[in-house]
Amino acid sequence: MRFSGWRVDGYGVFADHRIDDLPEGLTIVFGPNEAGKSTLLDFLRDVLFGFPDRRHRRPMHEPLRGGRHGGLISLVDAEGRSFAVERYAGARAVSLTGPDGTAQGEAELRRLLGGADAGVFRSVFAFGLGELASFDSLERDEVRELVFSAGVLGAGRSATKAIRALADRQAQIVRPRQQDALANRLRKEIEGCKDELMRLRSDSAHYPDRAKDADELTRAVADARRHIEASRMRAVELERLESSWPIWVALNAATDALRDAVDLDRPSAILLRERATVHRLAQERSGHTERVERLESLREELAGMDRSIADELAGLGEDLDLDTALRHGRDVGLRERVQALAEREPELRALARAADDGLGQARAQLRDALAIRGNVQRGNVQRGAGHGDADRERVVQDGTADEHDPLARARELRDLLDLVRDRDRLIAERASQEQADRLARLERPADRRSARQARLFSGLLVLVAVAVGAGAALAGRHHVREMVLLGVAAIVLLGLAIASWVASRRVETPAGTASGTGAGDPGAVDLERLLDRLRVEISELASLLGLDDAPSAGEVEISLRRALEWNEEFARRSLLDQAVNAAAGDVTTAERVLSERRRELAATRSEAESIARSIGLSSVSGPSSLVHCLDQLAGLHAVTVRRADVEATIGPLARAVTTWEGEVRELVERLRFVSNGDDEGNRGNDGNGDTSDGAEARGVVGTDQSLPDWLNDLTLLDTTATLDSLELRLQEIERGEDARRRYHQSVASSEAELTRLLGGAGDLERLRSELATGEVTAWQAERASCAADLQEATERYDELVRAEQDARRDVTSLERTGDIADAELRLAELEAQLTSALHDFAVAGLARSLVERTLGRYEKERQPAVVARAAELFALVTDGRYTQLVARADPDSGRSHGIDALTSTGTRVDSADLSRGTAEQLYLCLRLALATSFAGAAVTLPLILDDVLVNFDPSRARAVAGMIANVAKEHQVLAFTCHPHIVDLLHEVSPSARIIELSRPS
Amino acid sequence: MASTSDFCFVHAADLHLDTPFKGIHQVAPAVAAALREASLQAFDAIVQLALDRKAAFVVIAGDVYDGADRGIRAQLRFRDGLAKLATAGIPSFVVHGNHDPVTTGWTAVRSWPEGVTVFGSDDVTAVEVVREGTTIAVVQGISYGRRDVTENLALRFRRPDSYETPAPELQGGVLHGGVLHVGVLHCNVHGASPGYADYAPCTIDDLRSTELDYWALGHIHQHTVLSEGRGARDPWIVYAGNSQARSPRASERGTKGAVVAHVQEGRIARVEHVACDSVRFAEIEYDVSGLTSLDEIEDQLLAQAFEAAHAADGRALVLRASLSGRSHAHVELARPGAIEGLLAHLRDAVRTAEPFLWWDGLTDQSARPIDLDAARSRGDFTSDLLALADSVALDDESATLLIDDVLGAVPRALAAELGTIMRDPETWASMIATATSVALDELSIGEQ
Repeated sequence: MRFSGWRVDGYGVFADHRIDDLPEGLTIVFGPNEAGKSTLLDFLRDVLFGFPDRRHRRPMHEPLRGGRHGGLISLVDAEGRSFAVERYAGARAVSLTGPDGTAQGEAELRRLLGGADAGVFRSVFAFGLGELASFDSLERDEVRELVFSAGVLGAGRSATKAIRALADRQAQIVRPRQQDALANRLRKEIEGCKDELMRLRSDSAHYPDRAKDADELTRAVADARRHIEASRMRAVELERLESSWPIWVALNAATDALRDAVDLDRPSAILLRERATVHRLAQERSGHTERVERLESLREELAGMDRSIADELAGLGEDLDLDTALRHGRDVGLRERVQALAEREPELRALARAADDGLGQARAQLRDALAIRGNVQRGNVQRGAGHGDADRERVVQDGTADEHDPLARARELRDLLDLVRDRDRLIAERASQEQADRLARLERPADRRSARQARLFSGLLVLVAVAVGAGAALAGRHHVREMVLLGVAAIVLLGLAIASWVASRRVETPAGTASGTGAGDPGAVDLERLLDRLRVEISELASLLGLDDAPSAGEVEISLRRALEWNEEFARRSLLDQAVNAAAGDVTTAERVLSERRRELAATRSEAESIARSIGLSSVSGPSSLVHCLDQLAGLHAVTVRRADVEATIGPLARAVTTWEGEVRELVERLRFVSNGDDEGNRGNDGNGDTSDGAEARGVVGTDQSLPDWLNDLTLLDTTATLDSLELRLQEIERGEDARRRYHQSVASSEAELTRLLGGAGDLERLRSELATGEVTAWQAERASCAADLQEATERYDELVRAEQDARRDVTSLERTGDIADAELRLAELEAQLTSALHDFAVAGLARSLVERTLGRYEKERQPAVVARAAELFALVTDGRYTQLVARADPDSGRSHGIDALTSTGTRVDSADLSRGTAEQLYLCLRLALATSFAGAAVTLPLILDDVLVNFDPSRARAVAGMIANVAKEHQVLAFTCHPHIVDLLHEVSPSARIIELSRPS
Repeated sequence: MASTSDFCFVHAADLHLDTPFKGIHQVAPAVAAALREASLQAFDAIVQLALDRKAAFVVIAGDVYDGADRGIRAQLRFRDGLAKLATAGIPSFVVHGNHDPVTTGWTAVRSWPEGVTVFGSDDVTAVEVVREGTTIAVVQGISYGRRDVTENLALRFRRPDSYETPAPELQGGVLHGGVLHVGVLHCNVHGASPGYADYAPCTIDDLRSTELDYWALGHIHQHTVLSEGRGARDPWIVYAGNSQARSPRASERGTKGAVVAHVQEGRIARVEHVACDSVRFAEIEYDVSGLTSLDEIEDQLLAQAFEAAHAADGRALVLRASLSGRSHAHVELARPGAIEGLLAHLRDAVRTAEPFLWWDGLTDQSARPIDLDAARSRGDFTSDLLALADSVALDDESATLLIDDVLGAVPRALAAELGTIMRDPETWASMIATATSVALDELSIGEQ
């Protein structure tokens, strides 16, 4: 590989600096100090291998004159293919462009560089006086490999790095005295696990002993449990004995009492057997007593009723027998009939009194009416005398009504008056017509006067009517009838007044109307005919009314007024007459009613008396009395009914009393009979059932010396007392029997309690025997001893149980434990891991050994080639002063390091002892040899020599220049110098060399 | 027709109860619990097998326990299992082998259930198996008194003359045949299987010479029928194999269980190997050539794992994988932590598998895709290194030098174990090959 050019964008003093078409051989780069030769050397290194960062001590060469920090180098490989390496400071990666313009990877760059890294390149291929001054830079492992083994693979990692990496890998697995290494740690864990396993196995080996111990403890626990049970049982027995002792005592007492109890005599035994009968009779005794008392009461009541019946019959009359009385006493229909009469009689009496009162009132009213009418008649007479009215006088005097209806007369008079007025009006019209023209629109005072008169008349009528009304009101305070009459009169008068007013209005209207017609109206003829007809009618009517043929209106009005007054008087008289007539009618009616009532009353009484006679109650007068008698009959009937009831009640009562007393007596007889040696059955069959009855009949019982006193003392007269005695005796017997029963019960319960307390059948007899000793104090003492023993035994038992549980738990734990299996598994895991780790260690170690041994062989077998080549060059440079070079071996590792020079006389000189120039010549020779060897193993790389000749004397400088010229035949060489003579020297030995001049920047 | 001569019996061996699993690197707690129970469960399965098949008897041919320091749990579990058989009327016959010789260790079993015969180590003893009043078999056996029994114990066995019976005959409606003679022995039959300690060594001819009908053998962990009886007095020679695999080794893979020997008319008709194990081991060897990424490798390994799980017939599975071949993926595999990361991924992918599937380990024996022949001919460092590796693989002296190089820097506590590993001739070749690959990897870092 060689450079074909470069382009510096910005780097130190360089900016946009470009060199192209570099030749294959020697190129001399000449420039004064500060022209940038060393900077250019660093540029080439940095672009190929990377820029330094801040941590490096190398200069950064940041651009001083602008441009991007970095640039490009053009390369040509051995096959002539062109590449471009471009790198800039701060960029992540280098850019490699291939021959076809495609981007290539860093691996391709490494291939182009033959695997040389920056260190190798700096040490062997691009160096200046600084690197050349000593062997140090050749001491780097990689360079040393190059020096002594002339390259390893030609590409890839150095053997030393591989060895180091493998050593690291081994160290992670195994490291002396480092416990954190994997295998060391595993070994330690394995030892611990083995110890644990040994312990566990040791524990397991004790399992039989543990199991045996556990079994013995189990047996000891069982023994202790039995001992405790025995102590507890004895304590319980003793406690039961103590508890049973009072019962035992009670049992003995009850047994003694039973033994001492007297047996019952035969009558008592029979009585006891009959206690149900006694109790029943005793229960029935209160009912019996009540029945006796009730019977006595009823009998007294019966006697009373008999007396009452006789008295009642006697009171009702001698003709009345009991049956008749009872028959009528229960005759409901009769009673109702008589009761109706009795109720009717007072009503009729009241009605008769009312009729009598009504008659009196009617008569008083009649008198009043007559008095009023008389007063009225007298008043009229007085007023008629004043006025001299013949007609009214006649009427009043006669006291009779006119044959002509006064109202009709007044009506006719009114008609007549109308006709007269029509006539007068016509006459006036006729006259007015005649004076029409003269008296046009002249009002007719006469007509207005007539109207006023009519209205005056109507007003008077109103006043009269009011007066009459007031009179009626006054009269109303005393008599209704007068009030009515006066009211009617007032109404009539008021009607007349209204009629008069209407007539006045009618009078005015035709006059008005007529005034509209003229006297000279052609209707005058008709008017005349009308007058004529009116005159006729007036004449006829007046004649009829007893007036003149041609009465004047005033006459007619007077007649009319009189007729009206008459008419009013007539009406009042009619009313008074009607009142009188009505009062008279009332009197008549009252008299008739009174008569009727009295007749009915008499009929009622007659009927009652008839009924009384029919039933034999001759002394009865009137319905009320009859009712009383009937009530007595009914009471008599009720008494007889009650008597029958009482009689009906007495029978069963008497039988019940007799039965109960008979039972008592029979019981006593039975007791006596049985006590005398016979039994009840025989008694029932021997036909002596009358014995008790006989005794009862006798009322006394004979004394029998064979009978006990209580039986002899019984009397049958007072069965209740007898029963009381029997009951008392029975109670005594029952008390005795109860006591005997209680003793028996006490014995039984005591036995049962003893059986319960003293346990099962087996223990019972033994404990009863022990109980019979009665050693209560000894029992108590033994029980206290048992309690102490039990406590001690229990504590011992608890201890044994705990120990047994612990032992059993240990045994069970051992039986179930998987600890050994776990530990063995863990141990197997650890051992497998250790085996695996050691396997890995072995592999790494073998790999490392393979590399090391291969490298050693290289150092041993291939060292002479590099060193020999260097020795040849060094001999040439030193003109044969030094003829041989020898590598020094490290006494520890045996590997070579450092180099010695042998003079032509065989003297071995340490390179460190050579003069500076000679040493630089030696190191230069070594580098050139290395470069040649590297080219043989890998690729040919360019050499960049930065003023390496400055310390050489001229002859050796010329020799070195010649050597460089020879090297330049195989390698591209860039020789940097600031010395013109060196330029000349190099150019002299290599005339084809290209010279690039760098100028110092301004 | 019913015959007392027709029956079956169960032959088991090498129970190694409560045995640790060898070679398991690291397991999850649940897996550890399952592994811990595996040998005991296998024995329970054998007991259940005998009960299900109504076996006439059960023989156990040694190595009941894994060592003299036998665990209590294992002993009691064994006792309980035999008690269960005894309760069912099934007698059992036990001999001890090199792992559990009778004179070493201790016993937690103070008394064996009735019907259990534990043969002593003094001499061969014989016990009759009586069924319905008729002796149907005579079982002979002898235990190891100590671990390293080198005597040919088989020669002590012989067919007893007193049991010679004529052909099967009908008695009371039941066919009575000949008596089956069974020998129970823990031994190493020459030629049976390499790699086993040569305890109680014998040959097939030795066994045949006893003229027994069936040899119930233990010691070899792979079920093997060494000889099928071809006629009278030509015994069946059968290794039952162990009941539960104990390690990922090749001999421990596959079905583990017990043998059911079917007897007709007093002679072995056939034998049947029945799986009783609960955990199996499998190793996947996968060539990663052609694969370029870890993801591809993971996918392929998981596919292989599921196939292996399927083949395990419902058993839990402990898996190992060995990667081989030359692949660009090797670069990724060779990175620090890559194998561990891939293993973690694989475990996580089958975490919920039921029964469990546990990735025990992953070994990378793959290499870069280097043309070694070309490298050998380059004449550079690589060729020198390969030449050295080739010479080491073939030359013991060179190998010793390298081994000494490695052992030289190792603490003494580890040196012996490491020396054992490195001097194992079975693994040396692969180890040096791996080391060469590692060296080339290290020297090649930076290359693409």
